[in-house]
Amino acid sequence: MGAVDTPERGGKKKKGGLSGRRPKRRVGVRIDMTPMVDVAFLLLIFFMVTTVFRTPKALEINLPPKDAKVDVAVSKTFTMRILEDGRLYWRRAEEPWNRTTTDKLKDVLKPFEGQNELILVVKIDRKSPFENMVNALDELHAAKLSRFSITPLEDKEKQEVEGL
Amino acid sequence: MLKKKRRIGVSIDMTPMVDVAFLLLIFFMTTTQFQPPEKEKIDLPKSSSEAKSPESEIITIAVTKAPTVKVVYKQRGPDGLSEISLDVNPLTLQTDLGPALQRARAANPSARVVVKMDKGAEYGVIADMVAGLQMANATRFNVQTNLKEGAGILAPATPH
Repeated sequence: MGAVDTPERGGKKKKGGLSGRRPKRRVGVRIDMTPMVDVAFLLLIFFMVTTVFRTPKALEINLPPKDAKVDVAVSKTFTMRILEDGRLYWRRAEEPWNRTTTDKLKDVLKPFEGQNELILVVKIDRKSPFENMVNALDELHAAKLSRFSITPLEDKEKQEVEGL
Repeated sequence: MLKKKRRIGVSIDMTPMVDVAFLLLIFFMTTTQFQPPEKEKIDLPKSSSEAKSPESEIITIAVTKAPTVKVVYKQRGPDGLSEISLDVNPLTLQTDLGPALQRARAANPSARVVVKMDKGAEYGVIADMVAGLQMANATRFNVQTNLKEGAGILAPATPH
């Protein structure tokens, strides 16, 4: 399958000035390429099979109708306020506020997983990155909490928790 | 008397096959274009959602980090399908997005709305966007995300 040059036989190098030192005619040597091809195909197939293309995924959001108003009991609410710098304040009903950070959202929601009577009121600072909202949506979904509202944090509400 | 002949090792010359295989491999390697280069970079946020983002019949609302807001949709005109891009001022999004979306939906009523938004853009932009979406009666929309590492098929099995 392939021709490769042979070196001078046996590596014997005669350095003495031999008069009869003529370049030997090159000899065609056949090298078995089968293992190389095997490995090449193996790698090719491996990468073909394991490659996952990065296709964009999507979160589907259903907005409520424009003027939908729902009255809810305060005792069933769970409020979260997300600030620009990643601080997260949360409380159930009107208990005192708990302070944490947005990356610990998973731990906050864990004890409430699947409690579908809870109504989550998520308020996000308008200046905070969009990523925070996606994270919040994601964690709510992971915790199987489906009754929530996400609205911008108002200044008054921000002041209420900022000093804590 | 019928004795089976012993099989003789037959060597088939694989060279042409391998040649063609490598030729194809190199052809596809060189001609494959990965992501089409984008003029404005949008760094999508990550989520563990595995739902595929719709790719055809869509109206895209593209938001960059700056923020700039663009409504992109396809319209069938006299010279085939053309892409139309409307710029919307992010500061007047609440009032301006609705009409832009209505135009896009008039061109293609069955199209779905996909929001493609940079993860670093301000949350306020999407909060304003909601008003526009409601105005255009597009209460159902998709937010495009990338799959989080360690999610999907690579997710650790969670005990239930």
